[in-house]
Amino acid sequence: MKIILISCFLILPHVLHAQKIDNIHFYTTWSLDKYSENGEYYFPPKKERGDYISLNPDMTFTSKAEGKDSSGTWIFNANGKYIELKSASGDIEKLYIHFLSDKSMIVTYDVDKYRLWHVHYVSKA
Amino acid sequence: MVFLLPFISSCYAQEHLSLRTLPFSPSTPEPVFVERVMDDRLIKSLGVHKNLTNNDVELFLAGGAEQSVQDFFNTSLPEKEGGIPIVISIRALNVQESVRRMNRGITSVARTHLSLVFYEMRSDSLKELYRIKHNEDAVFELGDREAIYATHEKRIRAALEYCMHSFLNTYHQVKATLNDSDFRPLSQNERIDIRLGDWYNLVTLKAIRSRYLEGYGISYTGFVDNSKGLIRPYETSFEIAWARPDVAEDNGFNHVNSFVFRPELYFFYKKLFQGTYASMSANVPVGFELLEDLEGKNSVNFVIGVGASQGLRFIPWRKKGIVFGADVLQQLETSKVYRFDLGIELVLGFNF
Repeated sequence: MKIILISCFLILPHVLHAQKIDNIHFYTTWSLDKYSENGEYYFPPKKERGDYISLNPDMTFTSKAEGKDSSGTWIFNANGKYIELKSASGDIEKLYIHFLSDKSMIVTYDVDKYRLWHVHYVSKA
Repeated sequence: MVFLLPFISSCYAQEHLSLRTLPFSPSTPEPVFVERVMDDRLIKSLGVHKNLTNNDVELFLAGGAEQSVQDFFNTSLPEKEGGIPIVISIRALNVQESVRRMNRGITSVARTHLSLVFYEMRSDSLKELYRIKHNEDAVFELGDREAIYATHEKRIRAALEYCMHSFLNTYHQVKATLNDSDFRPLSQNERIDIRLGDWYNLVTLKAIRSRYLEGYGISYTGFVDNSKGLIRPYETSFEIAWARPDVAEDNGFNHVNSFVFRPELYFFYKKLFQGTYASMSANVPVGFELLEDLEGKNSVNFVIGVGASQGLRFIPWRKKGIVFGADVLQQLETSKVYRFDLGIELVLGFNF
Protein backbone atom coordinates (compact mmCIF):
# COMPACT_ATOMS: atom_id res chain seq x y z
CA MET A 1 0.00 0.00 0.00
CA LYS A 2 2.77 2.39 1.00
CA ILE A 3 4.65 1.73 -2.22
CA ILE A 4 1.57 2.61 -4.22
CA LEU A 5 1.17 5.78 -2.20
CA ILE A 6 4.78 6.72 -2.76
CA SER A 7 4.50 6.15 -6.47
CA CYS A 8 1.40 8.32 -6.57
CA PHE A 9 2.93 11.14 -4.60
CA LEU A 10 4.51 13.70 -3.91
CA ILE A 11 2.55 16.63 -2.73
CA LEU A 12 5.60 18.82 -2.78
CA PRO A 13 5.91 22.43 -1.81
CA HIS A 14 6.04 23.58 -5.40
CA VAL A 15 2.27 23.18 -5.70
CA LEU A 16 1.95 26.17 -3.41
CA HIS A 17 -0.65 28.72 -4.33
CA ALA A 18 0.77 31.77 -5.97
CA GLN A 19 0.75 34.17 -3.09
CA LYS A 20 3.36 36.39 -1.52
CA ILE A 21 3.74 35.24 2.05
CA ASP A 22 5.44 37.29 4.70
CA ASN A 23 6.30 36.68 8.34
CA ILE A 24 3.36 38.82 9.42
CA HIS A 25 0.87 36.32 7.97
CA PHE A 26 1.93 33.72 10.53
CA TYR A 27 1.55 35.76 13.72
CA THR A 28 -1.21 33.85 15.50
CA THR A 29 -2.01 30.65 17.32
CA TRP A 30 -2.56 27.76 14.92
CA SER A 31 -4.65 24.93 16.36
CA LEU A 32 -4.38 21.44 14.90
CA ASP A 33 -7.63 20.77 13.09
CA LYS A 34 -7.25 17.65 10.93
CA TYR A 35 -5.04 15.58 8.67
CA SER A 36 -5.58 14.69 5.05
CA GLU A 37 -4.05 12.19 2.68
CA ASN A 38 -5.13 11.77 -0.93
CA GLY A 39 -8.31 13.76 -0.32
CA GLU A 40 -9.38 11.73 2.73
CA TYR A 41 -9.68 13.63 6.00
CA TYR A 42 -8.84 12.33 9.44
CA PHE A 43 -9.39 13.81 12.86
CA PRO A 44 -6.36 13.83 15.11
CA PRO A 45 -6.18 11.04 17.68
CA LYS A 46 -7.17 11.83 21.24
CA LYS A 47 -3.63 12.51 22.48
CA GLU A 48 -3.19 15.19 19.81
CA ARG A 49 -6.40 17.11 20.57
CA GLY A 50 -5.45 20.55 21.76
CA ASP A 51 -2.13 20.53 19.89
CA TYR A 52 -1.16 23.97 18.60
CA ILE A 53 1.69 26.16 17.36
CA SER A 54 1.76 29.79 18.46
CA LEU A 55 4.04 31.93 16.25
CA ASN A 56 4.91 35.25 17.84
CA PRO A 57 6.08 38.48 16.15
CA ASP A 58 9.34 38.40 18.17
CA MET A 59 10.15 35.16 16.27
CA THR A 60 9.62 32.94 19.31
CA PHE A 61 7.08 30.16 19.40
CA THR A 62 5.29 27.94 21.86
CA SER A 63 3.69 24.69 20.83
CA LYS A 64 2.04 21.55 22.06
CA ALA A 65 2.57 18.29 20.17
CA GLU A 66 1.01 15.05 21.41
CA GLY A 67 0.35 16.87 24.67
CA LYS A 68 4.00 17.89 25.14
CA ASP A 69 4.86 21.57 25.45
CA SER A 70 7.77 23.07 23.58
CA SER A 71 9.15 26.54 22.90
CA GLY A 72 11.94 28.17 20.92
CA THR A 73 12.50 30.35 17.88
CA TRP A 74 11.14 30.20 14.35
CA ILE A 75 12.03 31.55 10.93
CA PHE A 76 10.06 31.66 7.70
CA ASN A 77 12.11 30.86 4.61
CA ALA A 78 10.25 32.61 1.78
CA ASN A 79 12.33 31.07 -1.01
CA GLY A 80 12.04 27.55 0.38
CA LYS A 81 8.39 28.12 1.45
CA TYR A 82 8.88 26.59 4.85
CA ILE A 83 8.89 27.42 8.52
CA GLU A 84 11.68 26.14 10.70
CA LEU A 85 10.96 25.67 14.38
CA LYS A 86 14.04 25.40 16.57
CA SER A 87 13.13 24.37 20.06
CA ALA A 88 15.06 25.34 23.17
CA SER A 89 16.21 21.72 23.44
CA GLY A 90 17.81 21.96 19.97
CA ASP A 91 15.23 19.96 17.99
CA ILE A 92 14.54 21.31 14.52
CA GLU A 93 11.27 20.85 12.65
CA LYS A 94 10.63 21.94 9.10
CA LEU A 95 7.07 22.61 7.94
CA TYR A 96 6.50 23.13 4.21
CA ILE A 97 3.64 25.56 3.64
CA HIS A 98 1.08 24.49 1.04
CA PHE A 99 -1.63 26.98 1.78
CA LEU A 100 -1.99 29.98 4.03
CA SER A 101 -4.88 32.31 4.72
CA ASP A 102 -5.99 34.31 7.78
CA LYS A 103 -7.87 31.34 9.16
CA SER A 104 -6.19 28.31 7.73
CA MET A 105 -2.70 26.89 7.20
CA ILE A 106 -1.90 23.59 5.49
CA VAL A 107 1.58 22.17 5.96
CA THR A 108 3.64 19.02 5.48
CA TYR A 109 6.21 17.99 8.05
CA ASP A 110 9.65 17.23 6.62
CA VAL A 111 9.77 13.78 8.21
CA ASP A 112 9.49 10.57 6.17
CA LYS A 113 6.83 9.10 8.44
CA TYR A 114 4.42 11.99 7.81
CA ARG A 115 5.65 13.20 4.41
CA LEU A 116 2.50 12.10 2.61
CA TRP A 117 0.19 13.83 5.06
CA HIS A 118 -1.23 17.32 4.90
CA VAL A 119 -1.64 18.81 8.35
CA HIS A 120 -4.41 21.37 8.65
CA TYR A 121 -4.21 24.13 11.24
CA VAL A 122 -6.87 26.76 11.93
CA SER A 123 -6.60 30.13 13.57
CA LYS A 124 -9.42 31.18 15.85
CA ALA A 125 -8.14 34.74 16.20
CA MET B 1 49.13 25.54 -22.65
CA VAL B 2 47.55 27.22 -19.66
CA PHE B 3 44.63 28.55 -21.61
CA LEU B 4 43.83 25.04 -22.77
CA LEU B 5 43.22 23.84 -19.22
CA PRO B 6 39.61 25.03 -18.93
CA PHE B 7 38.77 23.05 -22.05
CA ILE B 8 40.41 19.91 -20.73
CA SER B 9 38.85 20.10 -17.29
CA SER B 10 35.33 20.51 -18.59
CA CYS B 11 34.11 18.05 -21.17
CA TYR B 12 30.41 18.56 -20.51
CA ALA B 13 27.98 20.97 -22.06
CA GLN B 14 27.16 23.87 -19.76
CA GLU B 15 23.76 24.98 -18.58
CA HIS B 16 23.07 28.06 -16.53
CA LEU B 17 20.52 28.45 -13.77
CA SER B 18 19.11 31.92 -13.21
CA LEU B 19 18.24 32.71 -9.63
CA ARG B 20 14.80 34.22 -9.40
CA THR B 21 14.69 37.14 -7.03
CA LEU B 22 11.98 36.46 -4.50
CA PRO B 23 12.57 38.91 -1.66
CA PHE B 24 12.45 37.67 1.89
CA SER B 25 11.92 39.57 5.13
CA PRO B 26 14.85 39.59 7.51
CA SER B 27 13.49 38.69 10.93
CA THR B 28 15.74 41.21 12.66
CA PRO B 29 16.00 44.90 11.86
CA GLU B 30 19.78 44.86 11.31
CA PRO B 31 20.69 47.49 8.72
CA VAL B 32 23.22 45.25 6.97
CA PHE B 33 23.70 44.96 3.24
CA VAL B 34 25.96 42.77 1.13
CA GLU B 35 28.72 44.89 -0.29
CA ARG B 36 30.63 42.17 -2.06
CA VAL B 37 30.50 38.42 -2.68
CA MET B 38 33.65 36.39 -3.28
CA ASP B 39 33.49 32.98 -4.91
CA ASP B 40 36.26 31.04 -3.15
CA ARG B 41 35.29 27.63 -4.49
CA LEU B 42 37.98 25.58 -6.21
CA ILE B 43 35.45 24.28 -8.72
CA LYS B 44 33.14 27.00 -9.91
CA SER B 45 30.38 24.77 -11.20
CA LEU B 46 27.36 23.50 -9.27
CA GLY B 47 28.02 19.93 -10.36
CA VAL B 48 27.39 17.62 -13.29
CA HIS B 49 23.86 16.26 -13.62
CA LYS B 50 21.50 14.91 -16.21
CA ASN B 51 19.31 17.59 -17.75
CA LEU B 52 15.75 17.17 -18.98
CA THR B 53 16.89 15.47 -22.18
CA ASN B 54 18.96 13.03 -20.10
CA ASN B 55 22.35 14.41 -21.11
CA ASP B 56 25.09 15.09 -18.58
CA VAL B 57 25.58 18.83 -18.27
CA GLU B 58 27.68 20.98 -15.99
CA LEU B 59 25.51 23.46 -14.12
CA PHE B 60 26.50 27.05 -13.36
CA LEU B 61 24.74 30.06 -11.95
CA ALA B 62 23.87 32.48 -14.72
CA GLY B 63 26.01 35.61 -14.53
CA GLY B 64 28.47 33.88 -12.20
CA ALA B 65 28.01 32.95 -8.57
CA GLU B 66 29.37 36.22 -7.21
CA GLN B 67 27.01 38.45 -9.15
CA SER B 68 23.90 36.29 -8.84
CA VAL B 69 24.31 35.78 -5.08
CA GLN B 70 24.90 39.50 -4.59
CA ASP B 71 21.83 40.37 -6.67
CA PHE B 72 19.80 37.87 -4.72
CA PHE B 73 20.70 39.42 -1.36
CA ASN B 74 20.40 43.00 -2.61
CA THR B 75 16.72 42.45 -3.36
CA SER B 76 15.97 41.70 0.28
CA LEU B 77 18.69 43.74 1.97
CA PRO B 78 18.99 46.96 -0.04
CA GLU B 79 21.81 49.32 0.80
CA LYS B 80 20.68 51.95 3.27
CA GLU B 81 22.32 55.07 4.56
CA GLY B 82 24.24 54.16 7.69
CA GLY B 83 23.96 50.48 6.86
CA ILE B 84 26.68 47.98 7.77
CA PRO B 85 28.49 46.56 4.72
CA ILE B 86 29.03 42.81 4.85
CA VAL B 87 31.33 40.74 2.65
CA ILE B 88 30.41 37.13 1.93
CA SER B 89 32.74 34.36 0.84
CA ILE B 90 31.24 31.32 -0.87
CA ARG B 91 33.22 28.32 0.34
CA ALA B 92 30.94 25.66 -1.12
CA LEU B 93 27.91 25.77 -3.36
CA ASN B 94 26.80 22.71 -5.25
CA VAL B 95 23.71 20.72 -6.12
CA GLN B 96 23.50 16.96 -5.69
CA GLU B 97 21.15 14.16 -6.59
CA SER B 98 20.81 10.69 -5.15
CA VAL B 99 18.27 8.08 -4.19
CA ARG B 100 17.30 6.84 -0.77
CA ARG B 101 14.92 4.64 1.08
CA MET B 102 11.72 6.15 2.42
CA ASN B 103 9.37 4.09 4.56
CA ARG B 104 8.87 0.95 2.44
CA GLY B 105 9.75 2.47 -0.92
CA ILE B 106 12.53 4.31 -2.72
CA THR B 107 12.61 8.02 -3.49
CA SER B 108 14.87 10.45 -5.26
CA VAL B 109 16.52 13.14 -3.17
CA ALA B 110 18.15 16.38 -4.17
CA ARG B 111 20.38 18.66 -2.14
CA THR B 112 21.91 22.09 -2.29
CA HIS B 113 25.01 22.24 -0.13
CA LEU B 114 26.11 25.73 0.80
CA SER B 115 28.93 26.99 2.98
CA LEU B 116 29.29 30.74 3.58
CA VAL B 117 31.59 32.93 5.62
CA PHE B 118 30.41 36.42 6.60
CA TYR B 119 32.94 39.22 7.06
CA GLU B 120 32.83 42.82 8.15
CA MET B 121 35.39 45.46 7.30
CA ARG B 122 37.14 46.57 10.49
CA SER B 123 40.14 48.86 10.50
CA ASP B 124 40.86 48.19 6.83
CA SER B 125 40.85 44.41 7.06
CA LEU B 126 38.19 41.77 6.75
CA LYS B 127 37.15 40.30 10.10
CA GLU B 128 35.33 37.02 10.03
CA LEU B 129 32.00 37.24 11.86
CA TYR B 130 30.20 34.03 11.17
CA ARG B 131 30.46 30.82 9.20
CA ILE B 132 27.76 28.36 8.34
CA LYS B 133 27.27 25.15 6.38
CA HIS B 134 23.78 24.27 5.33
CA ASN B 135 22.03 21.56 3.32
CA GLU B 136 18.72 22.21 1.66
CA ASP B 137 17.22 18.79 0.91
CA ALA B 138 14.04 17.74 -0.85
CA VAL B 139 12.40 14.39 -1.56
CA PHE B 140 10.80 13.44 -4.88
CA GLU B 141 8.99 10.61 -6.50
CA LEU B 142 11.65 8.19 -7.77
CA GLY B 143 13.09 9.39 -11.06
CA ASP B 144 11.02 12.57 -11.31
CA ARG B 145 13.77 14.24 -13.32
CA GLU B 146 11.69 17.22 -14.32
CA ALA B 147 10.78 18.20 -10.77
CA ILE B 148 14.32 17.69 -9.45
CA TYR B 149 15.92 19.65 -12.26
CA ALA B 150 13.38 22.47 -12.10
CA THR B 151 13.80 22.97 -8.36
CA HIS B 152 17.62 23.06 -8.00
CA GLU B 153 17.38 26.81 -8.41
CA LYS B 154 14.75 27.08 -5.70
CA ARG B 155 16.85 25.11 -3.22
CA ILE B 156 19.84 27.37 -3.89
CA ARG B 157 17.66 30.40 -3.06
CA ALA B 158 16.29 28.69 0.04
CA ALA B 159 19.82 27.82 1.21
CA LEU B 160 21.06 31.38 0.67
CA GLU B 161 18.07 32.76 2.55
CA TYR B 162 18.54 30.25 5.37
CA CYS B 163 22.19 31.20 5.87
CA MET B 164 21.34 34.91 5.89
CA HIS B 165 18.58 34.40 8.50
CA SER B 166 21.00 32.43 10.67
CA PHE B 167 23.68 35.07 10.34
CA LEU B 168 21.30 37.94 11.12
CA ASN B 169 19.81 36.19 14.15
CA THR B 170 23.22 35.44 15.58
CA TYR B 171 24.60 38.85 14.69
CA HIS B 172 21.64 40.49 16.38
CA GLN B 173 22.20 38.52 19.56
CA VAL B 174 25.97 38.92 19.88
CA LYS B 175 26.65 42.23 18.18
CA ALA B 176 27.20 43.99 21.49
CA THR B 177 29.82 41.50 22.59
CA LEU B 178 31.77 41.61 19.33
CA ASN B 179 34.78 43.84 19.50
CA ASP B 180 38.20 43.78 17.97
CA SER B 181 40.17 42.93 21.06
CA ASP B 182 38.26 39.86 22.07
CA PHE B 183 37.08 38.53 18.77
CA ARG B 184 36.13 35.00 17.86
CA PRO B 185 34.08 34.24 14.79
CA LEU B 186 30.82 32.39 15.29
CA SER B 187 30.01 29.20 13.53
CA GLN B 188 27.03 26.98 13.12
CA ASN B 189 26.49 23.47 11.82
CA GLU B 190 30.14 22.73 11.25
CA ARG B 191 29.36 19.03 11.30
CA ILE B 192 26.91 18.24 8.56
CA ASP B 193 27.05 15.66 5.80
CA ILE B 194 28.17 17.63 2.81
CA ARG B 195 27.49 14.85 0.34
CA LEU B 196 24.42 12.77 -0.29
CA GLY B 197 25.41 9.08 -0.16
CA ASP B 198 25.78 7.04 -3.34
CA TRP B 199 22.89 4.75 -4.16
CA TYR B 200 23.70 1.14 -5.08
CA ASN B 201 21.36 -1.07 -7.11
CA LEU B 202 22.05 -4.80 -6.87
CA VAL B 203 20.33 -7.53 -8.85
CA THR B 204 21.42 -10.91 -7.58
CA LEU B 205 20.66 -14.55 -8.09
CA LYS B 206 21.02 -16.92 -5.21
CA ALA B 207 21.36 -20.67 -4.97
CA ILE B 208 19.84 -22.08 -1.81
CA ARG B 209 20.64 -25.38 -0.19
CA SER B 210 19.25 -26.32 3.18
CA ARG B 211 18.48 -29.42 5.20
CA TYR B 212 15.12 -29.86 3.45
CA LEU B 213 15.18 -27.68 0.33
CA GLU B 214 17.15 -26.64 -2.67
CA GLY B 215 16.29 -23.87 -5.07
CA TYR B 216 17.01 -20.49 -6.59
CA GLY B 217 16.00 -16.94 -5.93
CA ILE B 218 16.26 -13.51 -7.50
CA SER B 219 16.56 -10.31 -5.48
CA TYR B 220 16.67 -6.61 -6.01
CA THR B 221 18.54 -4.65 -3.32
CA GLY B 222 18.95 -0.88 -3.14
CA PHE B 223 20.84 1.08 -0.52
CA VAL B 224 22.62 4.32 0.23
CA ASP B 225 26.26 3.76 1.02
CA ASN B 226 27.37 4.92 4.44
CA SER B 227 30.62 4.19 6.24
CA LYS B 228 29.21 4.99 9.66
CA GLY B 229 26.39 3.18 11.39
CA LEU B 230 23.95 0.68 9.95
CA ILE B 231 22.69 0.83 6.38
CA ARG B 232 19.03 -0.03 5.85
CA PRO B 233 18.70 -1.45 2.35
CA TYR B 234 15.47 -1.88 0.46
CA GLU B 235 15.14 -5.45 -0.75
CA THR B 236 12.57 -7.61 -2.41
CA SER B 237 13.12 -11.20 -3.50
CA PHE B 238 11.35 -14.16 -5.00
CA GLU B 239 12.37 -17.79 -4.54
CA ILE B 240 11.51 -21.09 -6.13
CA ALA B 241 12.57 -24.14 -4.15
CA TRP B 242 11.78 -27.82 -4.04
CA ALA B 243 12.07 -30.42 -1.32
CA ARG B 244 15.04 -32.71 -1.81
CA PRO B 245 13.82 -36.11 -3.14
CA ASP B 246 14.41 -38.14 0.03
CA VAL B 247 12.81 -35.39 2.14
CA ALA B 248 9.67 -35.35 -0.01
CA GLU B 249 9.31 -39.12 0.10
CA ASP B 250 9.86 -39.31 3.84
CA ASN B 251 6.89 -36.98 4.22
CA GLY B 252 4.68 -38.92 1.83
CA PHE B 253 5.06 -36.82 -1.31
CA ASN B 254 6.48 -37.28 -4.79
CA HIS B 255 7.20 -33.59 -5.31
CA VAL B 256 7.06 -30.49 -3.17
CA ASN B 257 7.66 -27.16 -4.90
CA SER B 258 7.53 -23.90 -3.03
CA PHE B 259 7.15 -20.33 -4.34
CA VAL B 260 7.97 -17.69 -1.82
CA PHE B 261 8.18 -13.90 -1.61
CA ARG B 262 10.37 -12.68 1.17
CA PRO B 263 9.54 -9.16 2.41
CA GLU B 264 12.12 -7.86 4.84
CA LEU B 265 11.09 -7.04 8.37
CA TYR B 266 14.50 -5.89 9.54
CA PHE B 267 17.40 -5.77 7.15
CA PHE B 268 20.79 -4.20 7.73
CA TYR B 269 24.11 -3.87 6.04
CA LYS B 270 27.22 -2.80 7.89
CA LYS B 271 30.12 -1.55 5.82
CA LEU B 272 33.23 -3.35 7.03
CA PHE B 273 35.59 -1.69 4.55
CA GLN B 274 35.40 -0.42 0.97
CA GLY B 275 33.42 -2.94 -1.09
CA THR B 276 32.67 -5.33 1.77
CA TYR B 277 29.45 -5.43 3.75
CA ALA B 278 28.11 -7.67 6.48
CA SER B 279 24.37 -8.34 6.14
CA MET B 280 21.73 -9.34 8.65
CA SER B 281 18.09 -9.93 7.94
CA ALA B 282 14.86 -10.88 9.64
CA ASN B 283 12.10 -11.57 7.14
CA VAL B 284 8.64 -13.03 6.61
CA PRO B 285 8.52 -15.64 3.84
CA VAL B 286 5.02 -15.80 2.32
CA GLY B 287 3.91 -18.06 -0.50
CA PHE B 288 2.58 -21.48 -1.33
CA GLU B 289 3.70 -25.07 -1.83
CA LEU B 290 2.51 -27.28 -4.66
CA LEU B 291 2.41 -30.84 -3.35
CA GLU B 292 2.04 -34.07 -5.22
CA ASP B 293 1.48 -37.07 -2.97
CA LEU B 294 2.59 -40.65 -3.66
CA GLU B 295 -0.73 -41.41 -5.39
CA GLY B 296 -0.21 -38.50 -7.77
CA LYS B 297 -2.84 -36.20 -6.20
CA ASN B 298 -2.01 -32.52 -6.17
CA SER B 299 -2.70 -30.07 -3.40
CA VAL B 300 -1.71 -26.53 -2.44
CA ASN B 301 -0.47 -25.40 0.95
CA PHE B 302 -0.23 -21.77 1.97
CA VAL B 303 3.09 -21.06 3.71
CA ILE B 304 4.11 -18.26 6.00
CA GLY B 305 6.95 -18.10 8.45
CA VAL B 306 9.80 -16.16 9.93
CA GLY B 307 13.31 -16.27 8.55
CA ALA B 308 16.72 -14.91 9.42
CA SER B 309 20.03 -14.77 7.61
CA GLN B 310 23.55 -13.53 8.18
CA GLY B 311 26.20 -13.11 5.56
CA LEU B 312 28.71 -11.10 3.57
CA ARG B 313 28.49 -9.14 0.32
CA PHE B 314 31.43 -8.12 -1.83
CA ILE B 315 30.95 -5.23 -4.25
CA PRO B 316 34.43 -4.65 -5.70
CA TRP B 317 33.42 -2.03 -8.30
CA ARG B 318 31.58 1.05 -7.15
CA LYS B 319 29.81 2.15 -10.35
CA LYS B 320 29.14 -1.09 -12.23
CA GLY B 321 30.37 -4.59 -11.72
CA ILE B 322 29.80 -7.95 -10.14
CA VAL B 323 28.52 -8.66 -6.67
CA PHE B 324 29.01 -11.90 -4.79
CA GLY B 325 28.44 -13.21 -1.30
CA ALA B 326 27.14 -15.94 0.93
CA ASP B 327 24.61 -16.24 3.74
CA VAL B 328 23.60 -18.73 6.37
CA LEU B 329 19.86 -18.89 6.88
CA GLN B 330 17.40 -20.14 9.44
CA GLN B 331 13.65 -20.32 9.02
CA LEU B 332 10.49 -21.46 10.70
CA GLU B 333 7.64 -22.11 8.26
CA THR B 334 4.19 -23.69 7.95
CA SER B 335 5.54 -26.13 5.36
CA LYS B 336 4.21 -29.69 4.96
CA VAL B 337 7.74 -31.07 5.02
CA TYR B 338 9.49 -29.15 7.77
CA ARG B 339 9.03 -26.75 10.63
CA PHE B 340 12.57 -25.50 11.15
CA ASP B 341 15.20 -25.34 8.45
CA LEU B 342 18.88 -24.39 8.30
CA GLY B 343 20.88 -23.74 5.18
CA ILE B 344 23.27 -21.69 3.09
CA GLU B 345 22.84 -19.35 0.14
CA LEU B 346 25.42 -18.42 -2.49
CA VAL B 347 24.80 -15.04 -4.09
CA LEU B 348 26.01 -13.80 -7.47
CA GLY B 349 24.85 -10.75 -9.37
CA PHE B 350 25.77 -7.28 -10.53
CA ASN B 351 25.51 -3.72 -9.35
CA PHE B 352 24.69 -0.63 -11.42
